[in-house]
Order: sequence, then structure tokens, then C-alpha cells
Amino acid sequence: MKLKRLDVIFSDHDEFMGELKEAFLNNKNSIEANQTLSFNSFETFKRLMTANKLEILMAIARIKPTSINHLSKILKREYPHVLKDCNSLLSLGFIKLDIVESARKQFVPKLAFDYDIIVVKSHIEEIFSISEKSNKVLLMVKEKSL
Amino acid sequence: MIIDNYTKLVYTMFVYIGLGLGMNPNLPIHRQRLTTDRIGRLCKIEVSIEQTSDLNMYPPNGLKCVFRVLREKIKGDEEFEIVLLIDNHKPFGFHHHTKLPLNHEVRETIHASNWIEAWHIFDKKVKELLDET
Repeated sequence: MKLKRLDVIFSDHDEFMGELKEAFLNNKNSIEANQTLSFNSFETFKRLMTANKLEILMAIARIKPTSINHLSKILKREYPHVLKDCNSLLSLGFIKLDIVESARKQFVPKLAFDYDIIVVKSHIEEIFSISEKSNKVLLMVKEKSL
Repeated sequence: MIIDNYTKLVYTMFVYIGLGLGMNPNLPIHRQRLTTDRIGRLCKIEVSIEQTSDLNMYPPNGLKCVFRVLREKIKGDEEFEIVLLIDNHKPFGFHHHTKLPLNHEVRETIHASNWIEAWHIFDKKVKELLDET
């Protein structure tokens, strides 16, 4: 069972611009690039990725809420706070909001793509389990290693 | 009109041959990076380049380029506004929106004949922006 991963990497400005330039000039496949989010530092990532936002990602992957209102009920949090966190996750590239036209316009929160884990590539690689499948796989790996 | 379409066809073929030879990037490219400026406001650098067939809309060769930076209005509020934008739609070609975030309509043509030159100008402006207080 293979897990789909979203990589969070840390690079300085010149490295980022250099990587992009190389991707442009050497025809590197950009699909991989779409599965990587780049931050300048671990501190910036930590400031943005709060426990509440992580919980939102897990809820989206596991319960597949039909609206932000539904999501706020699942999480037992106030709607405006969940909406603010969703907007933040959207602008960071972790989720997308699909518009569904029913009686009134609704935003359906979905993962940016179907990833199972977030791999934070700092000095120590840290893995955040997002989907239910990733829980099972990581547990199997752990059991095998014991 | 026929000549115009023929010219476009030849130009498009030239672009695609160029792509095949590795002269142009593997498109589309959509990348973003989160960083902070000198006073700790979050800045989102977004780079998007895609090939379109509309040579008229995206001169000179149909490549739609959008290089932009969005910055937090107030440190910590995570509400972003566009503060730097270079793109290349008609009738301007490559241009810089010089009065952002206040006025989106003020544009200044930049001396770039292709995306690489525009990219270098963007890179320089990003560095200046991140150093601003």
C-alpha cells in the first residue's frame, strides 16, 4: 500500500528561485513540484500549521464534510473560526474549496490533492498522518519494525 | 486574416518545436513559497507559467506568465493582498503593476522580451520587497 505524500520543504529565497529556474530550463517534471510546499523556515510553518488546522485536514480526509458548516459541526468549533482556518489552509496550498450551487452557494473543503501524509523535511523528518489509510499503514510499519 | 492565422500557426509550431528541444520549461508550472519580510509579515510568492494557444492575448509566444507576491495586511492576520505583480497579457506585454496594493490599474511596461528576463526583474523586486520595513 503506497501513501501519497505532500512534502513541506524549507529553503532560502535564492534556493527557491534557483530550483524554479532549473525546472524551467531543464524541463524537470512539474507534477512533483505541485506536491511540495516551500517555506522559508520551520518557524514560519509552525506559526501557520496549528493543531486546529491539522485537525481540519484530518477531518476533511477522513469524514469528507459537505460544507464548512458541516466541518465546523464535526469539529465542534464556531463556524467563523473554522472558515478563517480554511481560508488560511487554502492560501497556503493545503486544501481547495469547491463551489457547489444548491439552494445557496456552498464551499466544499477538499484536500489540495489526495495526499495521505504530510512530510515535513526539517533537520529531522516529521510525518503527519492525515488520512485513515495512513494510520493503518504507519501502524503496520511500526508493528513490523518491532 | 488568412496570413495572420498562418503566421500564428507557424509561430505556434516554432514554440512547440522549441519545447521539444528543451528551450522552454515543462509547463504548466505553478509554485508557491511562504516566507516572511523583515518585520515578520507573511509573504506568499507565487509563480505561474503556462502555454496557451492565444498568441494575441499573451505576447510574444502565448506563454501566460504571472509572477506575484501577496503579503499579510497586518502581521499575524493571515489576510493577504497583492503587493507585487508582473504579468504579460495584452495590450501591454510584460508589465509591472507599480501602485499595488492601492491601485491595480497602474501598469508600467518592463523591458523584457521573454519570461526569463521578466523573471530576473521579478526576482530583484522580490528581494527589495522582503527587505522593506
